Amino acid sequence: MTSHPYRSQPDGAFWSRAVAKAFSPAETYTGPTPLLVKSDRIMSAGSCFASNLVPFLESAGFTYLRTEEPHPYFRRLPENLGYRNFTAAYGNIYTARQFLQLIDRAYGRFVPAEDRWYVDGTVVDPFRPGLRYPARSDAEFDVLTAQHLAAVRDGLESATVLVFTLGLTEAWRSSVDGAIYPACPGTISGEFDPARHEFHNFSASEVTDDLHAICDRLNEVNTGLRIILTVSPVPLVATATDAHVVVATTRSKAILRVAAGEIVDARPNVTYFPAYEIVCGPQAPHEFFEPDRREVSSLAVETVMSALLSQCESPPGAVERASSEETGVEDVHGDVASAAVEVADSTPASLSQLVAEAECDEMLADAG
Amino acid sequence: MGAMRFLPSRGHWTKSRKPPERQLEWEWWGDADASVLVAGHSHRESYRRAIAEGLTSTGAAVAVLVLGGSYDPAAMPNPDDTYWRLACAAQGRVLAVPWQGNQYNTHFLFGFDEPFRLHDRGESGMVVPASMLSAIWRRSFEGIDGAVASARAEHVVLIGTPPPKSDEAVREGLPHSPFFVRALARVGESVDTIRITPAAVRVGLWKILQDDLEQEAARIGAVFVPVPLTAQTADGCLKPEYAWPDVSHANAAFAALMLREIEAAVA
Repeated sequence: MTSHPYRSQPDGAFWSRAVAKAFSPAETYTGPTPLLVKSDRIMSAGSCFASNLVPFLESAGFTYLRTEEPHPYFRRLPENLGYRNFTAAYGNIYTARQFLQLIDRAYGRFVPAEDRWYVDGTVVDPFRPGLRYPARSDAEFDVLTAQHLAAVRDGLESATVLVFTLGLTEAWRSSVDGAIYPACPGTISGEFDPARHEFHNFSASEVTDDLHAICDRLNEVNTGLRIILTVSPVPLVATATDAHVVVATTRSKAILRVAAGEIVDARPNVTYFPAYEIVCGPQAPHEFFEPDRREVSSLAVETVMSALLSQCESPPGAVERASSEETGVEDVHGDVASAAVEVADSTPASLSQLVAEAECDEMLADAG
Repeated sequence: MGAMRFLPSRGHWTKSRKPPERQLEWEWWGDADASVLVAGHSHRESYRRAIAEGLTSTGAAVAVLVLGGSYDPAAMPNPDDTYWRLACAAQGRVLAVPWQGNQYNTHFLFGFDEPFRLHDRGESGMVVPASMLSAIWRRSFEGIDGAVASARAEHVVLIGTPPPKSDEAVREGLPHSPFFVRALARVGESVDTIRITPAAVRVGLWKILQDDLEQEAARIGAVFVPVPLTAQTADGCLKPEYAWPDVSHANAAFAALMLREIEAAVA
């Protein structure tokens, strides 16, 4: 029997040993370890799947960087679409180009021509169209946007690790300057105008180039930042191409996976964690997706996070399922006033309520 | 124009959370031929005082729906359905409603350890969107349409509520609330040292509240009568001559001023 390169390959290189006989999600990661150390300040961005890791990281004792939280008195007010699920309130970032443009906007390199929409007396941010509390004037919009972009800069510059989850290749952009919208104008807010808005499906080389540009930009402002790339296993909710959504999904994920691989091969500070493969690989159990076969199950998320945390410093014990509160799930039925009061208990705000109770007839009956 | 009690219709307050120590009755208080009827929350008291002080010679008689018997502003329960049924049943040209108006004080009179500011007001802390402030007190507008839905008056008016007082005036007004003094003592604070939210921010909060009131008026088909600039100082606070000596309420002169504004708005 002659010697050949496969003789020296580990068990994980062989399907029969690594999958058919026994599959260990944790062993799918073969990059440098530990992925995270306890002293890390972790920033994340990307598609909705990227927000899933936050409660797990925090419960494991890692520091998830938050640079744009609501003021404490307003923290229990509900928010939409996961704007509180990330380091700053940028919400879901589905494409590499969108993230690149966010970075460039934060540093004044890119000023979109269509930077606001006027909807029902409010000024809507096209790049955060679902914000529950939009500005009411141009002046307020400018200040709030500047505050947001400052929080983005703060996150990018103070993080030690960035976890970026690639979600989509399909996007809607401005035909004027290429500004990428997180959602097609007219779906969440705004109006679709075929003269100003166009569809684009990013190629593998475009995504790769954008990821390189992101790495370059980040290296300028935060030398030493480590980047963990993942690809979201969540299929497209819809495609704007002529392809079947399953085919479009496969193409999209393949492009993202290829681009991620290219970057990891080229950048020593970038690694890839195979969340996509753990959830979507042939070895994955049927239960990793909900019955609609699109929504990733909590079991799958727990499996991914257990695998990820096992590659980190001082890995915790069993990963417990995060509560809805921990995951930031929108509380659309929240009692706004009582929630605010609850948060404000024992703060000066509660004193404000006391004085009102003492002076206003509507409350005096209970003032005691 | 002398003040007098009128209208035979009466009702009884009921409070589920804390029964009053004695039976409370409400009644219209003011001019028997009143064409402007004022019903609402605590700021109505300034209108009662305006009647009592004879300041309502605006060409229209005024009546205020208040508690009957021995009037005790320290024991007024919250207007309930019974209250609003009486308000709506009264015939007059205008039903003028001071709907709450102290929400910005309720939540934000005192400064936080971590301050906040508005996009155009305040010097430190993060900027909070006006729409988020509105969300804080949105619930306080619940019931406003139902309260006046069956009003028999020709016009329903939502009255602008008094602007904030200066930091100094607030601090001077604090000791006049024994309950508050006790509350401060419980948390180890005093009226001399408690941090007051800067007037500039409170004026901004009040303006947001007034905008919300105006929107509510439009929603329910009422006329909104804003507080005129003549009632405000250059920095937007309530002029001292219109202030009642507490932290949030206005006096009879303010009510008389607003009654003139109401007359002009529905003329």
